[in-house]
Order: sequence, then structure tokens, then C-alpha cells
Amino acid sequence: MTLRRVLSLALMLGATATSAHAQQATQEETARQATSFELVPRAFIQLDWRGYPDWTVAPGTGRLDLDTFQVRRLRGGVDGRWRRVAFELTLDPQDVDGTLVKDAYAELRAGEYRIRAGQFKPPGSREYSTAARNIDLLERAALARSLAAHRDIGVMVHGDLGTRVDYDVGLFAGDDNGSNRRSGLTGAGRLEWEPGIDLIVGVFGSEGRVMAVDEEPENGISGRLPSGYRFFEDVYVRGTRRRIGGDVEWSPGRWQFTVEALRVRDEREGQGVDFDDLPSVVGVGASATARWRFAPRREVVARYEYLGFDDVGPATALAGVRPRAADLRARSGQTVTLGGSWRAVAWARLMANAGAEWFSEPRSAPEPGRRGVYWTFGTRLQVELPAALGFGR
Amino acid sequence: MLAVTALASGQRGWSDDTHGREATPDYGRVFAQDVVKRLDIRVSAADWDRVMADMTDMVGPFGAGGGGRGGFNIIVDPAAVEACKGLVEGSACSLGTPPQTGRCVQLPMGTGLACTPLPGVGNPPGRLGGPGPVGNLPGERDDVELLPRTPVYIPATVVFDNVAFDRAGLRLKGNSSLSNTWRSGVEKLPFRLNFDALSDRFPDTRDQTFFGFPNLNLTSNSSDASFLRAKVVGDLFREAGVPAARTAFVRVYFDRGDGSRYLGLYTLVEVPDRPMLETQFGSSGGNLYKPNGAGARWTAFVRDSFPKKTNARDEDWTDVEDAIAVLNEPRSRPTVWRARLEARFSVSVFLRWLALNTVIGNSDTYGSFSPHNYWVYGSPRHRDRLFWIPWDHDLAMNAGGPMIMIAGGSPPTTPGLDLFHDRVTATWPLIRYLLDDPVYRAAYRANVEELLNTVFEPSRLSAHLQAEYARIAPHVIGPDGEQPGRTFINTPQAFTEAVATLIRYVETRADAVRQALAVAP
Repeated sequence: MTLRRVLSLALMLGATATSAHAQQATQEETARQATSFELVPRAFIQLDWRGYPDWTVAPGTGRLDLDTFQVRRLRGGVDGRWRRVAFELTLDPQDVDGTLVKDAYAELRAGEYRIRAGQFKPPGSREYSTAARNIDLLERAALARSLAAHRDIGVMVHGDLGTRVDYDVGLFAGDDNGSNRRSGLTGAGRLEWEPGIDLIVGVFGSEGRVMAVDEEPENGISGRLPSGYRFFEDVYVRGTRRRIGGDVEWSPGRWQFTVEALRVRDEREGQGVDFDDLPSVVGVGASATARWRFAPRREVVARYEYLGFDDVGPATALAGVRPRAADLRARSGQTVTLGGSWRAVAWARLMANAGAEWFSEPRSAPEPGRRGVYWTFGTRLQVELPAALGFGR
Repeated sequence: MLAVTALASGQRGWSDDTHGREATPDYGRVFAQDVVKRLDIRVSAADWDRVMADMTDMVGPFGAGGGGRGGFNIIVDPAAVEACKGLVEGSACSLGTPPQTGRCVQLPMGTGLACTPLPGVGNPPGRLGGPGPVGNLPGERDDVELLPRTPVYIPATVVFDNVAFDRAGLRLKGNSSLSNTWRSGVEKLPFRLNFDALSDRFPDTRDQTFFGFPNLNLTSNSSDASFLRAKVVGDLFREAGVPAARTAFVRVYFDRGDGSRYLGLYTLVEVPDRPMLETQFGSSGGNLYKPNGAGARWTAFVRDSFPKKTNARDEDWTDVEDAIAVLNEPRSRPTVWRARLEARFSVSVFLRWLALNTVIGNSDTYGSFSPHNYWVYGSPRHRDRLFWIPWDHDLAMNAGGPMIMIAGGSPPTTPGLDLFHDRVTATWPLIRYLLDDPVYRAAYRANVEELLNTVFEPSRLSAHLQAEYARIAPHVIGPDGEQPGRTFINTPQAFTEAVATLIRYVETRADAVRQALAVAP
């Protein structure tokens, strides 16, 4: 992205904020007349610096740049409400996967139920559900990026079962709109239980169909660690894609502990070179995070995570990495990330991370054959633009 | 993502559209067919001295003699043949006084084994054993197999269409074309350009491309006085539907610190790489191999014979290992064997290549001179099937093929046209086993018949050759042509006669193929 484009986007956001100002005045006026309509602009920008001090990545194996500054996210949009319908539209011209429209949905509140339709995050991973501006570290845990069901078009119902159990259940056109790995029609659900005031336990799952097309790119899951390095390339998959996962969040006082695990299984019907069925590919991710808010708006975070892939067939001498390999070579990566975050003012947040990654299969490491730790450092300045300009929340 | 790095690099004229890794490969500009463009290369005197010192260390002094034109006339030392008596291909051998370590390699046309000294394996520098048969070394140095190591890269500024590419990596490349040119003292040396080869030294050149192309070869046509073979034969393969590299003629001007001078007319050759794979196969994510050595015959899988040009980090050869295993399976159930083979290897493309390669008369490749001069690509968009990619055609269009003489022995003989490769043994299983199969033999025959009436139709092909000749002639001969010391053409007549000979060859070759077809069972 050129500097000119950044400036034009900033102007666009400024214009959004200006119109937001006008909108806010209108909103206040409207509120005086009737409280049935709200429109709140939202925008934030994340300016990152990333450093990979002791490694370089071969082109095509990840989306890493050399030590560089980058705009990681540039989100803008509106939240609103009209009578019993809430809605949201969020765009990100800077999205790393090239998805301009992030959220675009309306939600009807009907008694105890909420029915949402449009494009949004399906019920599932806690880590993936956390808003990008509120995540603890610079990047979400790898399981959220690599294994979780991502935004797609669908319909979802949310409700309560008594006072301690919530549920979300939905039907979606896929599990990652705009991506090669997108499945077909997918059902997804999440059940959350709050046994105590500081404790939340969740289970979730999804199931859909994946359909490889020979002339199209590979459509399976791939594995990236938080650095962005991709150590497991996607393969051709066809059949059922099934996810099952769970998480626990415990928040005693200034501490918060979160544990999450997720398993994805993709079938590979007819994907062998002789059109034979291949053993399903399985991805497993787990993360454990501890956060300590040692002062108002200041916190430190530590996270350990694991991400691994293999097929369910027996190991053979012909284990490989090709997209139609009968025996996929098992690969996994682990990461420990330490980070700090300081919301200097309500609209600005400073973050710093240090991450250490290591890989089970040295041939798939960033520098093939080199075992050991790969360090990543990063800092972020996050600015919530309407607030910074005196508008919005 | 916004990467400010490139903006801050300070590289003159850097643009993502022309220099960036994601630049769309500009085939129309780089491989322009209707004009002969100018390409300027500028290196410093000190860097050029490094090239000279490096090559002198490996091959001996520049212009020391013993080179001459590259090509087919190969004289084999009888001692080299004797050194491999009782041994098998690939065996270690010893030759000469003092003894030089070598390896037994097949002589062209399967006429036996000869010991080929391996430079750098305890052998003194500058003594490569003369123009013997090509001793393919395992490893990554596919285009410099005769040298003990890859020649040094030096930084060069390359200018093309008024766009400059700074600090591109430039090195010498080639086997007989390089060593023979070096010994003969002709300055028109063959080059490899790798536009980010020096990114460790110059980080701002990381991922630099040349209008989207990471690598390019500049072939000097040292073996081809007509200049046309490397260019036209590649065109014919692509026209026939066989994946092949793009080529174009370019006028190369070279400045090694003492002023720019016309180095000669080169053939710019696309290196099978991301742009070519994406253009011709829809994806560059598969395994690309440049086979050489004994394993490149496909009789048995030999890992060292299949150096990986993509995905090398993965160390995964399962596709080619599997294909070779299936090729060599018993063929008692031909239908099953064919289905299994076709699932792993694009037999149709191979038969198409074999048919056109035979009609053209190209012996410097699989099935004849040596198991080299081809690439294999496992295409993800074609269910990982392996595709044959022909390479290096400057010795094609030669009915006789390599002439092999054992020094002091009988005079060379030119084998006649063997249209159905009946003389080829099972040491070339891709030819023998396929043409032994009646279904594939019929397909091969149909390809030959069709190609004779289309791609290799003499009047059409002659017109193509004439047009190319007219385009390049002003840059080869005459006041703007190549200059003494920087050319392989002794007289203008040598060039024009070579083209005329080539056109006559096309006509006589087509007749010979038709006659062979008529009498073949």
C-alpha cells in the first residue's frame, strides 16, 4: 500500500468521523424525538512494527515481511439500532486476507431470542470471537487463525437456557467467506455455562462439507503460528469438515486465565492420485493464556500454544507434504508469547510482544533444517479514530 | 500490508510493477517476438576481475585454447573407456597421470561407458579432461555440471526498455558452451541473471524480479551458427502443446568498467520458475525437478538425480519416486498399468514431446545423448501429475545427433532415423516401455503424423525460420552485427549458409520421417 493510499484512507476515516459528528448531532436530536434509532461510527487503526531478528523466510512460505512497519488493521464502520433491530457494518481495506467486508449483519431481538442474519463470526472459538481491538496480544492464538470457522454469511439464533447457560446456533453458507478453504453449507453452535461468577465454560462445534476442485487451489486447512509463518500447507480435501472444541475462562480479581482447545478433521474422499480415498487430515490446536491487570488499563500477558497437523492413517516411509500425499508428514509448532498492553488514553493502546516459536519438523521450519527457537518481536500503536477525534465511544 | 521498506530502499527506479515479486510477468515486453530489443549489463571492473579469477581457477586461463565451438563432435579418450571396463554407470573410476577421480557415464547413444573426471574431487584446477561426454553431477548446479562449483555471482545493473535493475546477480552458466567458449577466448559468454541472488549482500534487492521474472538465461548460441535453434524449437514445442520456456532474441551490450560494447545477439530464455509454472500449469506450488545423472533415466529412483527447484526445503520426492515405481511395474495387465501411470505422469504430453523431438531430430536429451535437458513438474492443479518440460535446444535439428569417436578408432557413424526408437533399450524406460505398449505406440504414431502436417510442416516452418532470420540478421552480420572476438561466426556467409542448411534440413527431415512412417509396422 502506498503512502498516498494510507492518506486517502485516513481522510476517508476522517470524513466518516465528521459525518459521525453530524450523525451524532442528528442522533441526539432523534433521541429527543424517539429512542428508536441509533447510529454509532467506529474506526480504529493498528500500526505495527514487526521484527524477525534471527531468521528470514523464503518467499511464498508466509506473509512475513522483513523488519518493517505495517498497517495491520484499518477498520471502519457503524453500529446501529432501529427499533428492535441492531445492525453492524465493518470494512477493512487493509485486511491481510483481502476481505474488505468484515461484518455486515442485522439482528432482531425478539423476546428472549436474538436472530442474526448477514455476514458475521459464526459461534465457535472464544479466541476468534474476541474483537480484534481487544485481543491480548498482537495476534490471536494460532488455533483461531488456522482452525476456527471464520466469518461467513448465515443466520444464527442466540438465547438462554435458564440463568447460567447461553447458546448460539447457526447455519452458514460456509466457514470462511472469500477463502480457498471455505466449506459448503455449515452448521455451527456454541454452548456456554457459567457455574460461578468468575468462571465460563464453553463447548462448540461445526460441521460442513468441503469439495475439492482439481483446477482450483488447495482447499484444506493450513497452519500458521502467530508470527505469520506457515509451516503446514493446505491440501485437497473433500467430504465432511468437523470441528469440536472447548474453552474455559476464569477471571479471579485482576487475573484472567483462559484455556482453549480445538480439533478439525477434514475428509479426503477420492483425493488420491488413483482417485482413492485418503486418510483424513486432522489439525489440533490448544492455547493457555494468563493475563494480569496490574494497574488500570495496564496488563501483562503470557500465552503458550500448540498447533499440529497429521493424517489419521498409519505412518509410512512415503510420508510427504504434497497436497495429495497419502501419508501426510506430521508437523507441529509451539509458541510462547509474552506481551504488555497499556491503554494510555481511552482511544490509544500501546502493545509490545516477544514470541518464541519452535517446530517439530525442522524441514518445515522457517530456515529448513535449523532446529531451535525463532524469535519474533512486535509493537503496536492502536488508535480508535472517532474517539481520538472526539466522536463516538 | 503496508511495507514501507521498499519505499525507503532508495533503489533507483524501483517499482513494484516492474521489480516486485508480485509483479505480473510481462511476457509481451520481455519476450517480445516482433523486435530484437536491447539489453544492457553493467558491472564494475573489480567484479569482472573476480569472475575471471574464479573461472581461471576452475577451467584454466581465458583463451588458453582447446575449446572451439561447442556441439556434437565428441572425441572420447580410449583410456577413459578402458577405465570403466567391467564397471556400471555411476561407478567411481580413476583416469590419467596423476590419477584424477571420476565417474563412469554412459556414452552417447548407449555405446558404452567412459570415465569422466569430476572437477573439484581431488583433481587439479583448470584440468577438466577435455571435451568428453557430459558427466552429470548430482546436486543443484544443473547448468554448470562440468564445473567444480557454481561460478560466482557479481552485482550487475541491467537496463531494459529504459528500466534499470540494480544489483542483479550475474554469473556465467553453461556446460560445453561455457567451457569451450572460455577456452577459445571468445568474449560472448553465456550468463544467468538472478535478480535477487545477492539479497544477502544487498537486502533491498530481496525478491527483486525483472518485470516479474526472478531468473533469466542469456544463451550465446555458441553451437549454432544459425542462432535459430534455441529460439525456434522452443516455439515449436509450445505450439505443439508441450510446456516449454519462452524465448526471445536480445542484443546484449556489456560494460565491464571500460565502456559499453555490443557483446552479441543472445537468446533470452525463461527459466522454469514461478511465472512459467503459473502461466502454463496454473500454479507454482508443485515440485519442479531438473533431473540429471543415472537416475534421470527413470530405471530406478535416485534422489540425487532429481534436484528440486521448488519446495526443496520439504525434501519430498514421493511424486517422482511413485511415478518411477509404477513405470517399472510389470505390464502384464496393460490397462491397469496405463491407468496407474497416467495418474502419476502425463503420458500424453510425454508422447507429444517424444514425437516432436524425434521429428525435429534432437539427440541431446533423454533417450539419446544423455539423461538431461529436461525438467519435470508435479502440477497441483492436475492432481500432482508429473509433466515433461523440454530444455536446451541449441543442438536440435540435427539428424545425426552427437558423433562419437573413440580416439584412434573407427570413423564416426551417423545412426539413421529410428522413428519408433526400436534401437532404444530398457535403460530408457520412458521410451521403451511406452512404445512397447500398442496403445501408446499408436498414440505416438498419430502425434508424428499430425505434427508433420502442422507444427513441422516444412513450408510453414521454413517461413518461420526465414522470418526469424530476417529479424536477427542485422544484429549478427553487417555493420551493426557481431564483432570479432565476440562472435562465433567467422564470416557472414557462415551465418547465412547455416540458416540455409537449417531450412534444407527441415525439408529433408520431413521427407525422411514420412518415409519412415510409411514402412513402419
